[in-house]
Amino acid sequence: MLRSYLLLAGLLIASFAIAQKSDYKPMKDTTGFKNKIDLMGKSTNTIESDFVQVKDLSMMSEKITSNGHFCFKKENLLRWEYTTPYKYMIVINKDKIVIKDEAKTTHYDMNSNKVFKEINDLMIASVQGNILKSGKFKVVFLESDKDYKLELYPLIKGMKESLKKINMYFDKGVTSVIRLEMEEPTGDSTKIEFMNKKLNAEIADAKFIVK
Amino acid sequence: MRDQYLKIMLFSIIILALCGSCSHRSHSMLLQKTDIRPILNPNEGALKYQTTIDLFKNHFSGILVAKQIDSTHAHLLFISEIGMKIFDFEMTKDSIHLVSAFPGLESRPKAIELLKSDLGLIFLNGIYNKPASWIRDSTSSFATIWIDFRQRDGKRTNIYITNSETKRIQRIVQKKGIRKKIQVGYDQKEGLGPQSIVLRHKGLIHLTMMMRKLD
Repeated sequence: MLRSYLLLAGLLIASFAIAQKSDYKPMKDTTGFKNKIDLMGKSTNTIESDFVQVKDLSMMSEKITSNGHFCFKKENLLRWEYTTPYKYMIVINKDKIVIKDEAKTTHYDMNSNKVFKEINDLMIASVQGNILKSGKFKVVFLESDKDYKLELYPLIKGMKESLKKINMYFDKGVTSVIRLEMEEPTGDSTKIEFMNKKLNAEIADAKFIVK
Repeated sequence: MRDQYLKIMLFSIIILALCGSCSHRSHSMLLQKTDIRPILNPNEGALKYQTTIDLFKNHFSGILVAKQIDSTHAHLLFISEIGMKIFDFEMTKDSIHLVSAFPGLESRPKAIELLKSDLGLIFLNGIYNKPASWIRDSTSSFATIWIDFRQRDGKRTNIYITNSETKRIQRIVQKKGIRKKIQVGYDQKEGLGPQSIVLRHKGLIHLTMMMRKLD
C-alpha cells in the first residue's frame, strides 16, 4: 500500500515540466481553452517524446537531473522510462502496471488495487491534458503571450501534504502539454521538459509489453 | 575413528585460535577522523546513490542523496526515481533523527527506526571521539594492513575494517553477542565516496540496502 501511494504521488510528478519565467494573467477565454483541450484529447492518438527531469532540492542546494523517453498510445497504453543516470520504467498496459527498476520487475493488476486505478486515471489524464476534468484539483487558468498555464491545487487529503501546486503548460495552439512543474510544501520542486515530441506517429504495441 | 578425527580437528582449531591471538595485539584508543576517514565532509558536494531497499516483502528503489551541510549537520534524503521525497533524516554529531517522511512511511515507526539505525551505521554516525580498540593484523599477506575498530554500542559491537593507508572504511560488521547481525560492504576507489555500498541484515530482520554511486 505504501509503495502504491509513493507511486501515485510520484507519477503525478513524472507528468510535469519546466515553467518559464513569464508574466501570466488570468485567462480571458477559459471556455475556448477547454474546448481546445477536448479537441486535443480527441485528436491525439499517440505521443512520443524525450524528457529531462530536474529535481531541485532547495535545502541541500542540489539538483538531480535525469533523462528519459515516454510513449503514450490510446486508449490506455503508457511507457515512462528513465535511461540516464539510472534505469527505471513504468509501463501501463490497459489493466496492468509494470514497474522495472535496476533490481526488480514488479507486475500489478490495476483492478485488484484501487490506488493503481487512481494512478492510471491520473497518469493518462496528465499526459493527455484532461486532468482538469478529474475533479481532484482546484484549477486556476492563466495565459501569457507565449503559452497557457494551469495551476492545479490538490484537493485530495494525502496529496495536499506532499504536493503544494502543479503548473501545467500548453502551447498557444493547445496541441499537447509542453512543460510541467511540481512544487512541494518544503520548497523542493520537480520540473520536466519535453523535447523531440512526435504526435500521432506509429507506435508498436510491443513497446507496452514488459516481461 | 570418527571421535579421534573430531578431537584432532578441535585441537587444531584451539591451536590456530591461540596462534591467531598471539599475532594480534589489541590497543585502546579514542577513535578519530584520522583513524577512519568520514564518508561525508563539509566542503564536498552531495553523494548520490541509486538505491534499492528490500524490507521484508516491500521493495523500494530511488535515489539517496547524502550531504554534509556544515561541520555538525548532514542530511540523508531518499527520493523516488520520479522525484517524490520518501524520507529525510538529519544526522548530527552523535544522533540521527527523522525530518520528514512520506505519510505512508511516517505511520511505520519500526521501519523508520530500522532505516535510521542502518543509515547511521553506513554513514559512520556517532563513532568519533568514542572509546575503541584496534587490532593490527601483521600476518596479512596483502600489502594493505587491515585494522579493526571495535566499539560498544549497548549490547552490540561494531567492527570497522579500514584500509590502513587510505583510512577509508571497507567493511562494518555489527555483532550482538557472537552472532553477526548486520554486515556492510563498501567498494572504495579514488574520488569522493564509496562506489557502492551493500548492507545486509542477518537473522530475523529481512533488510537489504544496495547503493550504486551516480556520477
